[in-house]
Amino acid sequence: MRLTETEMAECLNLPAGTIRRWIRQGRIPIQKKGGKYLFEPGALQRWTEANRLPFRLPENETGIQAQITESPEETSIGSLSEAMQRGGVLYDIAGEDTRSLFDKAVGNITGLPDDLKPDILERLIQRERLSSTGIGKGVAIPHPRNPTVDVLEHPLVATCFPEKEVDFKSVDNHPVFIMFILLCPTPRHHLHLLSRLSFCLRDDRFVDFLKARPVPEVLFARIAEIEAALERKEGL
Amino acid sequence: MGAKLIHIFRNTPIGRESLLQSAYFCKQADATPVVYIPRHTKFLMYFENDVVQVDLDSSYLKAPDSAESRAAELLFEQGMEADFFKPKNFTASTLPDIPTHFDFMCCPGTISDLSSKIGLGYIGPRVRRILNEAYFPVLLASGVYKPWKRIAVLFGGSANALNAFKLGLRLRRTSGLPLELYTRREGKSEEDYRSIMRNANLEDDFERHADGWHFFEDGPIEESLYEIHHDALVVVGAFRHGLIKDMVFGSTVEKIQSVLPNNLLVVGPKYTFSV
Amino acid sequence: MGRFIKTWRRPEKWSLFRPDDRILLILIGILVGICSGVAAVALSRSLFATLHWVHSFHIYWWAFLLPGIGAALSSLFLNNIMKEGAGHGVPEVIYSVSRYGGLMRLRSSFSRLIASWLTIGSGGSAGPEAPVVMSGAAIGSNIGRIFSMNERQRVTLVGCGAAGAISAIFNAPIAGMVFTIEVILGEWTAVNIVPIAIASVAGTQISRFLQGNNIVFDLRQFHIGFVDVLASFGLAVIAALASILLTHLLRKMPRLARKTPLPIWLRAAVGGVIVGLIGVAFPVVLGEGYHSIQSMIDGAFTPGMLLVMVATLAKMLATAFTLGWGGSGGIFAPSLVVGSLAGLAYHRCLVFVWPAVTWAHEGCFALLGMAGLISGMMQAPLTGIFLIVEITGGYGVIVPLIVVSAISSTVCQYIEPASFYLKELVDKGQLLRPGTDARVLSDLSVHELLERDCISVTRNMLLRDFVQTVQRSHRNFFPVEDEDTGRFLGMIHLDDIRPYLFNPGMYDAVVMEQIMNRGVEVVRPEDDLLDVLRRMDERRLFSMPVVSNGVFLGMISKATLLDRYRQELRVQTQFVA
Repeated sequence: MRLTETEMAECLNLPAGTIRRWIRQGRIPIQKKGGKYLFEPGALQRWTEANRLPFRLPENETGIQAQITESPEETSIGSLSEAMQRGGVLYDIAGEDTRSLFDKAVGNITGLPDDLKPDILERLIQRERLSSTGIGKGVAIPHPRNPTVDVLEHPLVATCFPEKEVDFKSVDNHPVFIMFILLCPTPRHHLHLLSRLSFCLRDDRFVDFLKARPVPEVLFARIAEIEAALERKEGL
Repeated sequence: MGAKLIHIFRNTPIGRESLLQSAYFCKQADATPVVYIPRHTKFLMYFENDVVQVDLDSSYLKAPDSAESRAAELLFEQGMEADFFKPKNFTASTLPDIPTHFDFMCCPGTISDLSSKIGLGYIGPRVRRILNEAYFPVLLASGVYKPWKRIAVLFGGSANALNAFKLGLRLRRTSGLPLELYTRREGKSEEDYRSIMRNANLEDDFERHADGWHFFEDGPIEESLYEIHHDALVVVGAFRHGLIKDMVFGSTVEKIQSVLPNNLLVVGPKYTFSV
Repeated sequence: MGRFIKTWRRPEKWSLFRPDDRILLILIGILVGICSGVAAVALSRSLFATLHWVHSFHIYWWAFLLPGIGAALSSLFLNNIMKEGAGHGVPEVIYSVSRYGGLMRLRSSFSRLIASWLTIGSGGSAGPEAPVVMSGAAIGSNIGRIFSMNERQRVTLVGCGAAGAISAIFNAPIAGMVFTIEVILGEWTAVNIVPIAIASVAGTQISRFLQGNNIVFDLRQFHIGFVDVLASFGLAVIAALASILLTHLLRKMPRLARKTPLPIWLRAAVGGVIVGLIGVAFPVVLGEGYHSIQSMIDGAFTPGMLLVMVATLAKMLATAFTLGWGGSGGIFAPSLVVGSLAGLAYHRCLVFVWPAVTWAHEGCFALLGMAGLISGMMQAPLTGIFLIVEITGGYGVIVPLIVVSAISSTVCQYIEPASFYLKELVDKGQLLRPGTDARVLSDLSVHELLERDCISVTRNMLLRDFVQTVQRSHRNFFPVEDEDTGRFLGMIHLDDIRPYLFNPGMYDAVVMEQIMNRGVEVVRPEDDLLDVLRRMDERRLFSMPVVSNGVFLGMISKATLLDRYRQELRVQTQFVA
C-alpha cells in the first residue's frame, strides 16, 4: 500500500517530520519509494499496536472526510430555533405559583416521554428553590438543577406563556410573562442554548415582540433570523 | 515563508560578491540568509545517506575579526538582518557539523580548494556530492554580483527538470520576475515536451505563470545557451549519469556552468519540492 | 542493467528480506567483519614487519629521532592529505553512532591505519586498536551506505566493523563483541548482538586464515592461591590509580602541546623525539609493546622493583608524548603494557614485603594488571575480563581477574565519572546512548512539537474584537503580529488580561499592543530541546512561542512534549518486527 506524506501523517496522527525521521532511522516499517511511502498495512498495524500509537487507514477519500465531520469538534451543536421547534410553544398555562405552573407546562410538552415528566418536574422545582430562574424583564428560563438529561438525544426548549403573569421572585421583581424550559443532553448544549437565548433577550425589542405572544411560526422565524446574524458575526 | 539559505562567508572581495548575490537571491526568493563564518578549514555535512566533508581553502579563514561585522554590514545594506550560524556539534574538535535542513545553499564554484586549483567551469567533487544528496537546491553564484531580472528554467523533460520548473514557479511567485523555459529538442518534438508537462499536471501553471518556452535545435551547447538572457537566473536540474561518465565527460551542469556566467540554481535528484 | 543495479543496491527491496532484515544484516555483517578483519590484520602485520625493520637501526645513535620522523609524517598525512584531525577516533565513532546513525567518511576507513602505522611503526608508544576500530566502523558504515541501509541497520553494521576489527587483531571474538556493545553502541538488544557476534566470528576467522590461530600471548599455567586473590584487591587499586594518572597525562598533554608555537607536524616530531629519548633508557616503551608483554607474562622481564616502577611511569609519559603531541594511535596497547608493568611492580613489592609467602607467578600479576588498566581506562569491566581471558587463553585466572576488573573500573568511575573514550563526548554533552533522556530529546526537534492552533492577533486590534477571538480559541496564548510585515511582536496570555476582559468600559480603550507582553522568551526552530527545556525550567514556563526570522510559527509546550517524548522512547526502545 502506498500513501503520500500528508496521508501518512493523517493515518498515524503524527507530524510529517517525525515519520520522515523514523523512516530514516529505520524505526518504523515503512519504506520510501519515489515521493510516496510504501508499507504493508498488517505489519504497520502490528507495529503501531506494539508501540501504542494511533493508526487508522483511510478507506478512501470520502472515508477520511466522513471521519473528520464525525469528530466532536466539528459536529454542529444545533441551533436555538431547532431546539425551540422541538419543544413547541404552549399558550395560556394556568398556575398560581411556580410549582403548579411547571406541573402544567411539563405535562404539556409533547417532545418528552411521559414517564420522565415527574422526574424532570422535581428537578426543575429543586433548581428553582436554589435561586430563581427569572432573569428579569418578565422572562424566566427554568432548567433542571443538573442540566444534563441524558435520555434526550437532542436539546429541547419549550416556550410557555402563562395565563397570567406569575411572581418568580426575579432579580428585578418583575412578574414573569414567558418562560423557556431548557432541557439538554449535555452541559455543552445547555451553555450554548442559554447563551443564545440570553443574547436574544438582551434586545428589548425582542422582549416586546414576545409580549405580543407571537404564533410559533413567526417566533421561530424571528429566532432563526437573530441566530443567523449572530453566526455571521462570530464567523468573522 | 521562513525559508533559509546557508552561506559560507569568505572575508575577501570575492566573498563579498557572493554574499551580495546570496542576499539578492534571498530577497527574490523570500528567504533569509544564514551566514556561517568558518573558523576551521573543514566542515561536515551529514545527509541522509552520505556525509560530505567540505575542505575550504585558507582564504576562508582570513581576517576572522572583521568577518562578522563586514557580513552584517553587507546584509544590512541590502535591508536584511544578519543571522549567523554557530556550529553546535563537532565531529572532532576542528571539524564542525553544518546541519542540512536549510532550504537553499550558496556554493561558490570554489567551495573546495581542489576545484579552485583545477580552474573555472568545474564544479568541485564536494559540491557535486552535496548536490547528489541534498534536499535543497544549490545556488552557484557568479563571480561578480549581478542582480538578475528574469528566471530561465532549462527544461530537459526529466523528473528533475520538472522539479526545476516547480522551483522556477516558486521563484516566479515570490519575486514576480518573468519566467521562461528553454529546451533543447534532442530529437524530440515540442509536443513531446508539452505532454511531459501535461502529464505532471503542470500545464495550467505553465499557461498562467510562464512567459515563454524557447526550443533550440540541436547544435553546439554554447550556441543554444547564448540565447539565454545575460540577466537571468538559470534554474537547472542535475542528475547523475554514472560516476565514470561524469568523470570523463563532465556533467551537463558542469558544461552549462563553464559556458554560462549567469547565476545558477541547481536542483539535485533528492530535491523534494516543498512550498 | 541500470535497474538491476538499482535493486541490487537496495537489498531491503528484495522479497526475501522484506519481512525481516535480520538475515540481511547478518549477511552484510559477515562481509563487514571480513573487510574490517583484513584491515586489522594488514595493520598488525605491517606494524610487525616495520618494527622489526626499524629495530635494526637501534644500534645507531640517531635512532631516537625515528619516532619523531614517524610522528611528523603521520601528522602531515592525517592533517594535510586526509584532512582529518588527530585523535584516536573512538569518540568520533561513538559520536557518529549516536547522532548521525553511524554515518562516517570513506576516508576514515584507511586514514587512521596509515597514520598509526607511521606513528607506531617508527617506535611511537601507541596502540593499533583504536585506529583499527575506526577503520572497521567506517568500513561498516560505508558498506551500509552502498546498500542504502537505514540508520538502525547502519549502526549495527558500524558495530560489526568495530567488532570484526577487534576480534581480528586480538584473535578474540568475544572481546570484540563485548567491546563493541559495551563501549561503541551502549545498547544490548537481540537485533544488534546477533550480527555483531557473527561479524566477530568472521573477523576472527579471517585473521586465523591469514596469520594462523595464535593466541596473542602464550600463557603458562598459573596456580592461584587464596592469598593471590586477596592481593588482587590491592592490585586493583594500583591499577585504578595508574589508569587515572594515565588518563590525566593524556588529557593534559595536548593542552601543553598547543601552547608551543610550532606547526602541528613539528609538534608531533618533538613529541616523537622525546619518546625516542625515553626509549633509549627504557626500550620497553617503544612501539605497541606486545613483545614486552609476552616477556613479562613469561617472567623473562628481568629489571628489579624500582626499575619496573620507573618503567611504568616512563611508558605512561611516552604514550602521553606520542598521542598528546600529535601522533596517531590508540591507548589500548599502551594500557596493556602499563598494566603488565604495574602488575609486575606490584608483585615485586609483595615479594619484597612478604618474602615468606608463596605468591603466584609474576606473569599472573602482569596479566591481572592488564585487566585492571583496560577496565579502568575504558570503564568497561566486561571488555577487560573477556579480552584478557581470550588473549591469554587462560581461564584459570578468572576469579582474581573479575575482582581486579570490577574494583578497578569502580574506583575509576568514582574518581572520574566518564571514561577516557567518553570524556570528550560527555564534556560536549554529546554522549547520547540509545534510550536515554538526552538521546530522545536530541532526536526530537522543535518542528515536530509545534502546536499550530494558536490564533494570532494584530497589534492594532481593539480589546472588543479580541474578546471575540478569545471565544473562538482553544488556547490561552495569543501571539501579536504586525499586520503589514507579519513580524512577531509579543504575546498575550489570558491570565494577564483576565480582569479587563469583563470590563466593557475598556473594550474600545485598549489595543493589543498596549497589553501584550514584550520581550517574551522565544524558541528558535533549530534550538536543541534540551536547551529549550532548561530555559523553561529556569523561568518556570509551561510553554513558549516558537519564532523563526521574526515570524511566529506556533507554541511548544511541555504537555505535547511529554506525549511525543513517550512515543519516541517507546519507539526507540522497541524492536522493529
